[in-house]
Amino acid sequence: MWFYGVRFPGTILILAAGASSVPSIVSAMAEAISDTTKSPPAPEWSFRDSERARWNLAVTTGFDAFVHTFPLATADTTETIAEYLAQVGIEGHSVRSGRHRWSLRAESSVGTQLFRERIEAGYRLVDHRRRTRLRLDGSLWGRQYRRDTEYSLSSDNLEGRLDLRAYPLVRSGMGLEARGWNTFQEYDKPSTLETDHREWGVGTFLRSRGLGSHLWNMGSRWTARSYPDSAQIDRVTTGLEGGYEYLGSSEASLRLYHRSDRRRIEDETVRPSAWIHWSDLVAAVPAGAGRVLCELESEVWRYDQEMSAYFDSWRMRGFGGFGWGEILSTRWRLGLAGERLEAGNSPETYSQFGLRTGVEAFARDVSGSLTLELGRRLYDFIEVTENVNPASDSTGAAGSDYVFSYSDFTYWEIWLMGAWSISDHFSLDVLANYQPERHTEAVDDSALGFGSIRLVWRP
Amino acid sequence: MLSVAMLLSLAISFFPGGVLAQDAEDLQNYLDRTEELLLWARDLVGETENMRARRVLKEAGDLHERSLRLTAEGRPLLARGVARRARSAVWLAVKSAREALNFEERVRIRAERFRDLHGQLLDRARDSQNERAVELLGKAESQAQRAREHYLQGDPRLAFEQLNNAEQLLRSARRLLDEGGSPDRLDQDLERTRMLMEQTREMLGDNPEPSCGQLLAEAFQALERARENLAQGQPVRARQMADMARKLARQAAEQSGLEPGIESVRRQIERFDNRSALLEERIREAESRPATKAYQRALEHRQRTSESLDQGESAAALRQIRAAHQMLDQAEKLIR
Repeated sequence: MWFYGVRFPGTILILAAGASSVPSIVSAMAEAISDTTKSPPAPEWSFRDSERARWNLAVTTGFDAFVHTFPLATADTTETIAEYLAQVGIEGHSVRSGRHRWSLRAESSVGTQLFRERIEAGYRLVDHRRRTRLRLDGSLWGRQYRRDTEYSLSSDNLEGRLDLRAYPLVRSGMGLEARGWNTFQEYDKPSTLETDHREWGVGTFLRSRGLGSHLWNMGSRWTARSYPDSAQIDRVTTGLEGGYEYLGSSEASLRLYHRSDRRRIEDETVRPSAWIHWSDLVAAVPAGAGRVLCELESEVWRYDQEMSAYFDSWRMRGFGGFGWGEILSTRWRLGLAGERLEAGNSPETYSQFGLRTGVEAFARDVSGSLTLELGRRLYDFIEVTENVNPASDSTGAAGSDYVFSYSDFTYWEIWLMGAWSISDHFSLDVLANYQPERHTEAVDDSALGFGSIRLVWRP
Repeated sequence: MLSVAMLLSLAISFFPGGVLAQDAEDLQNYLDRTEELLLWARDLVGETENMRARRVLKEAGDLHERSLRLTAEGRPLLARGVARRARSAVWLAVKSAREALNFEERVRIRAERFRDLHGQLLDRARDSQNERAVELLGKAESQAQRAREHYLQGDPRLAFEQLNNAEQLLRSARRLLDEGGSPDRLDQDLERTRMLMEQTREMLGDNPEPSCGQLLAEAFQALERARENLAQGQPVRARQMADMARKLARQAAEQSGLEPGIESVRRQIERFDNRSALLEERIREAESRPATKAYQRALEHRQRTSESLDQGESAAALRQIRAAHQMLDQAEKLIR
């Protein structure tokens, strides 16, 4: 059994981790919640719907594997991490009737690589018109690596988050949310690559309410992150964001989102401050028997001072195509995907095009999604001879420094997600993706793969 | 063999000593520059938490050391070859570090956006009792946690891809919430629509105005089409037709311009009493506390209906008897 003491502002939480200790933690927290909500009887432990609470227990066993093939200096290498695991989880929440609503989730898993524990709890206070006025959410994650783990960094760690949200102004059409949060990450044995950090943040958000066709939101947030052992990279981020959503009855829809952040770094000679702008557009327009689909994403990074590793960039990703079918039976989509990274003279500048097709279905017993994409990435600068290190001269034997470049490649990608309800109590989940890249320079070839299979039992 | 040796000695005799010295100087310059680049790359790679960049840089350092040893041993040709490989490794480390830093920055902001979006969708899915969407969101969260683990392991590329997996699941859940709703939920919606329309028919009485009667007949046709659409696996169209059925029924009620008739409320009370008598025994046998509670609440609403009728408030009475029927439905479901 392992014990961690966790310091949140104004509170002390103790996480006791270990398979044997989980039920006791859960009962303790269930009792605590029962006390706070003044509910006379404690929630039933029958894992069925009770009068005041609903509980779900899930026992899961499964296998995960990651494969990454990439070139090293002298040879290619393939890194594989495979893990068998068994997990027990319980989730409960109050029924939607009282003014005090709560939720609780506890999970513990034993894997061949590491042990994981998770505890989450939430509380909501709603007014007589069932509008949320106060909300408190907390979560804790613990990880302990086995001695023979294949992971290269193996210091046990714990991370947590506490969110407090208040809704001082709630009208029929909109609501104001004030939020404060605190997060932390702590390592058992901190090192240069395993650094503790803390984060505090506050934000205000204004959101439309109700079930209308037009929804909108806007907000601002301020976040301060500190690294006790590496104060030069402490940062303060201020951001503004806004979104709009239209859901028409004729399957037409539009979703817009924009966020701009200003990130200031404590020591700008170590890492430059930056502006970050992120925009999303997703639209669907009915056409014939289906819908014309359009997705665009823009990500802009502007550093106060470009450094060798930090360069200005503008990345745009998009998809345009046609979709048809119903999501609860079978829905298809086919179209062109594109991506452009504009990074000035940096060798990373590229354009990418692909053909993407997908099918998804969410029926009662079987549901799943399959996406395939085939495309090519073309770099603007095949060979760059610019000197990236202005502090030193270029007097190498070749006359000037040969600076790295990237080679064009053809890629394909498969993404699969499937779930099968074998019976009322058993289900099988599969998730996999694989992305090989075939480069014009064979030494740059790489491949990335992930596969996961889970058998879940719900009593 | 002899001729090769003669050719070699001839070539060596023709090489001026200055050229060999120039070669040695070039090699030394090359090695010095690699040393500088290694130091520079070390700073850059140190910025990242990327293990691959660190491994490659270590290899570059080892190769450079070897080229220095070979030079000291007077084997310049071999030294030059190894030095070139060391230089390539330096650039590969730099490339990996730049790529990793790029992914690190992007993973951070994407993870934050993921958390916000996940929270919003989970609230929506729980409020609308869409279990399928809740499940997908659970899987998405689990993928995001795996992404977090890869990030902590100094593998931001893998973390980024894993976060992409999580985002894909999030998008599926969102589509499910936007477009489909769960099949069970749709069934319930259609049943509620049917009840609403039955109540409207009772309100209109046996001889409604022709225009109102026509609207109500169209409403029933729309509901029938909604059921057909659902059976054919077209939930979006089913939902649209159910919306239309409700709208038409509401128009029929509005056009009639009548307050809910006392007679209509009485018919519903009669129906409630019949249902309640049939259910009472089954509830007692089931010994289900939630079902008993729902049944008691149904009786309370029934009582309030009578009180409202006594006070001549037919609209309030209609609301109460509807609530009574709904609680009875719930009780019936709980013992099923």
